[in-house]
This record gives sequence, structure tokens and C-alpha cells, in this order.
Amino acid sequence: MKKVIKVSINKMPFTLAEDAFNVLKVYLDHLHRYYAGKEGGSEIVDGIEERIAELLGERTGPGARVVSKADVDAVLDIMGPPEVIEEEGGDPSGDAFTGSPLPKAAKRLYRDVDHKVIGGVCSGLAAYFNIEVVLIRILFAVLFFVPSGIHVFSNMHHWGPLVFNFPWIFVVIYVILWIVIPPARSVEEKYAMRGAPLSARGVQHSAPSHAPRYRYESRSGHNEGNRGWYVLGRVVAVIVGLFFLVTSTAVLISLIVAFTATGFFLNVIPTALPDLVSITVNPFLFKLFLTLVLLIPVIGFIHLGSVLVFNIKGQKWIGPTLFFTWLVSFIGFLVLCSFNFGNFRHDARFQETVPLELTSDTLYVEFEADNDFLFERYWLEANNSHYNLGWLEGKREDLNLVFFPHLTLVRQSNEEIPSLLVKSHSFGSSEHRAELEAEATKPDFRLDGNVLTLNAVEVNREDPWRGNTGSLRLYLPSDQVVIVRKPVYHEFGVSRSRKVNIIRSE
Amino acid sequence: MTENNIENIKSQMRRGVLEYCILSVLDKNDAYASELINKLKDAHIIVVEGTLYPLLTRQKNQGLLAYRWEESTQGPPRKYYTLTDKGREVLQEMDKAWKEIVETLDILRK
Repeated sequence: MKKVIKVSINKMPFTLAEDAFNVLKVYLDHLHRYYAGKEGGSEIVDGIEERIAELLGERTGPGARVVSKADVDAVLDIMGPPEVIEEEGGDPSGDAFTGSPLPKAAKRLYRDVDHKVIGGVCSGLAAYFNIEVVLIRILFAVLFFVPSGIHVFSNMHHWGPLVFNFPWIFVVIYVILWIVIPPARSVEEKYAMRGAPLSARGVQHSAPSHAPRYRYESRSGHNEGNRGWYVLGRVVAVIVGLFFLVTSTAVLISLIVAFTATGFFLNVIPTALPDLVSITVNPFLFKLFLTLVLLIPVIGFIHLGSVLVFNIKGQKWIGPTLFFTWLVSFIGFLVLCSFNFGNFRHDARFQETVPLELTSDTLYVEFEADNDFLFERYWLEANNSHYNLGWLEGKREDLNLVFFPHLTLVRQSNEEIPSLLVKSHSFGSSEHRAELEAEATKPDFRLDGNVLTLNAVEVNREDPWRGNTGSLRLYLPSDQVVIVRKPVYHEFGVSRSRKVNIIRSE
Repeated sequence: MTENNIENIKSQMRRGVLEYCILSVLDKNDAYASELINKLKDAHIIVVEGTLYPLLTRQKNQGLLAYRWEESTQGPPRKYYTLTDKGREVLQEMDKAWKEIVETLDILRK
């Protein structure tokens, strides 16, 4: 099915194909505009219209078939380009016509999709700035492969210079331009893109058509050159597209696994974190925005990759829709995050020193959790003075995380009293809340004979995490033997230092 | 001299004599636009048809041409162009000028 338009030219009825109509309309509109208000102007345009009607009538014959774009092109070729006709009117003596120059169409930035290699960004820029498209393509081709490190020197000396290394930044810039710059599809847009006055040649070039590429190239006389650029462009497009496809598919798979299967890549499902961290907003919205912010770019890059690799025409609504949805989610996410800082606005510390009465020259330390080490993963850092047990994932049905206080051993002289320094730090919506929270989450311990039991702080839906951390410092004489019995055996000063990440307990 | 330049000179020459040609054609018979175009095309003087219309209007405005409407057996009524007295005078002037140019060339070529 093809759209046709019925028109009357010089009182003769014609049925035109839509593309034919567009070409003819631009041609006649241009003449009408030029001759408007000029002496005898309407006569000239009427004469030309009459002749066009006659020639079209000759071509279509008595059957009055639909006028194709080829018909109109042929007839307009006979009539000649508008500016040649207008030149003829410019009488040297100036008695009849003092043809004022055509008001130049406002130039606008479009993507030149008729002469595109990847997305028409380069050709569109070339048309806009009126420079050789070859120069812009070389520039982009070079920039595509230049890894660009953006150095941001921070004045915070302990941070040192911050370096954001973004190797594919010009690919990203290209993609953003591709999304942001609209394509020149209608005849008017194609003129606005060039900002050039209309010409018959221009009409034929820019009319919406599916004419094969060679037509333009043979006319412009850069056949070989354009062909080369096209091939080079396609090679670049396929390489970049494959890169996009492979990486984004990998990221998608990891995200799906991370979001659905518990602790395959991470120890917690990312979307479950909002349940365990103290937030003040709707966790569903929070999770939704987080998911969209992470997933949309991946989907976008997969789509883009397939468009680039297979050279298919992407649906034009996909890019803007994805981009817009992502933007909304991102803004929503930021807004929710800023609300969430409510519970983290103030912080407070708590500390107390408890004297220890030792009954033996050996002190045993045991870490204890409610579900008593039915965990699968943990990390441990142990040496002569530290025993840091990382958080564990409990095996209970509901979500929970377990935090252990960091244990530090400080040696002191035999004269000083053995003691335990209990420290905790927490956040809260107010100073008072933070203080309460810090005290409430102080590391819990129990000294039973020569066994020191340290309890974990559990975080779950009912009692979410408020950024609390706790630590314990043991001040003991140098000859006191200290052995951690549970969960991993470690004798301070005897066992060798170790650092263990995520291991599976038996 | 480039091909472009030659084309340019040729088209200038054609343009120079096109008005003269129009007057010459109309001197014999009145004609409507398409008829006139066909005659000029047969004589290889115009390539681009559209250029004729501004010329006709200009000559009409200069009082060299006039036109009348005539019913047509097929299609809408036609505009028949005809030479005015002033047009005939100008044509005679042009005939003279043309002869002079031809003579000039003859002399130069001897």
C-alpha cells in the first residue's frame, strides 16, 4: 500500500505518489516564494505550472495513472532548476525584476541519514558547518580509537590526583549525538540541514527516496571515495557494535544472576540491600529505580550493538524512549537517595573501658552468632595484633547480614590492669538518635572464666543497618596467651598472618 | 579553458539570442507557450524550459509581446502570444544587429 495524493495542477487533476508530491511541492513552493509580490510573478509561476501539468499529462497518458517520483523528476529536469529560472528573471536593466535574494532558510543541525555511514552524525555536522564530511569522518575515526584519560587534580592531598579513564569516550559522544540530534527526514528538514537555497538538484537529492546510493555518488563525482568511506565506516561500526554486544550481554547475564540468584557473584542480592539498610522511602520504588538505572544502559547498548553490526534500521523511538526512561529513573534514584540520607545525617561514637579479671594465662576468644556459623562465606584478616572477621550471610530464611566487631590486641606491661575497650560508631536522623544507636549496637561480649565470647550484630528487615561499626581492643600483658577458637583458629603471635576472602566453610 | 567555462560561454550566447529567437518565432505565427517551447527545442536553442517563462513575462512587460486567451479543444484555455508593433520594431533592430555580428565574424575569419 502506498499513499497517494490527489492534486489539481493548472485545473487538471493528477494523482501523485507521496514522494512525487513532496518533490513537486517544494519546487513550486520555492518558485511561489521567489516570485511572490514581483511584477508578473504569478504569471510566470502559472505558466510554469501549466507546462508541468502538460508534461505530466504526456507522461501519464490518458489512463491517468499515478504520477511517480521518476515522472516528476523527469519533468522538473526539463523545466530546470529554480535558480536558473530565477536568474533569467534578473534583468540587467532592472526594469522588470530586481530579484531580491531568497531569504536564507534557518540552518539547523540534523543527522544526514541519506548519506549516513553509521548514524549520519558526521554528514549532518558537515552539512551544518559546511565543511568536507571526509574531514569530520577522519576526526571521528581517529578519536574513536584514542583512549582519553581525563585527569582531575584534587586539592585534597591525601586523595591524590583523581583520574577518570574513559577509553571509549568519543564512541559514547557519538552515540549521544546520534540520540540527541534528530534525523533530517522531511524535505523541509533536509533544506534546513543545509541551510542552502533550494535547487532542483537539491530537490532530487533530498527528497525522501529509497534511491540506491550510487545515484547520489555518481552525481557528486566522489563515487570511489564515498565507497571507501562507507566500507571503512562499516568496519568501524561492526567492531564497535561487536564490542557493545559482547560486553553488554556479559553485563546483562551477570546482572540477572546477581539480581536473582542469591550470592552467586555477590553475597547479597543488590535489590535486597534496601531492605537491610535503613532507608526512609518506599523500598519498592527504590528497587525499581535501581534496577532500571542499571539495566537500561545495558539494553540500550545491546540494541545499539545489533543496529551497528547488522546494519539494520533501528526503530527510531527506541533510543529516545530508553534514554528518557533512564533519565527519569536516574533522577528518581538520586531523589530517593537524598531522602535516604535522613537516617545518616548525624553520627555518634560510644566507647567504654571494662577491666578484665583473668583467671588463667590463656584467654580463649569465641565469636558467636545467633545461627551459629551456618554461613557459607566470610572473610578474615588475622595477624599478630588483629583478628577481623568480615560479615557473613546467615542461612536463615529471611534476609540477614551479620557483623562482627573488629578485634585488636594491644600488649601492655604486667603492672597495668588488663582491660577491654569497647567502641562503636553509628548514624541517626538526629544527634540523640545516633548516640542511642551507637550505644545500642556496641559490641556485645561475655567473659566466662577464661573464655571471652563476642556476639555478632545482626541486621535484618526489622532492624536495618544504620552504618554502625564496632570494635574491641584487648589490653593484655605480653605473656598472656590469646587464642581465637571459633570460627577459625588463630593464636596471636604464633599463628601466621593470613588474609582470606570468601571461602566455603565445611 | 575548462569544460565549465566553455559551457558558461555557450549558455551566455544562447541566453543572448533567446529573446531574439522568441520574437523571430512569433513574427511568423502567434503561438502558445508549449508550441513556442517545442519550436525552440527543435532548433536546439533552449535546454531548460522553465527559463522561458520569465523571459516571456519580461518581454510582455517591455511591451514587445501581448497575449490573448483562446479556448482549446483539449484541456483548459491557452494563452496565445503575439508580437506588438513595438515588438516588430525591436525585432527589426535585432535582425540588423545579428547581420552585423555575422558580418563581423566573416571579416575576422578571412
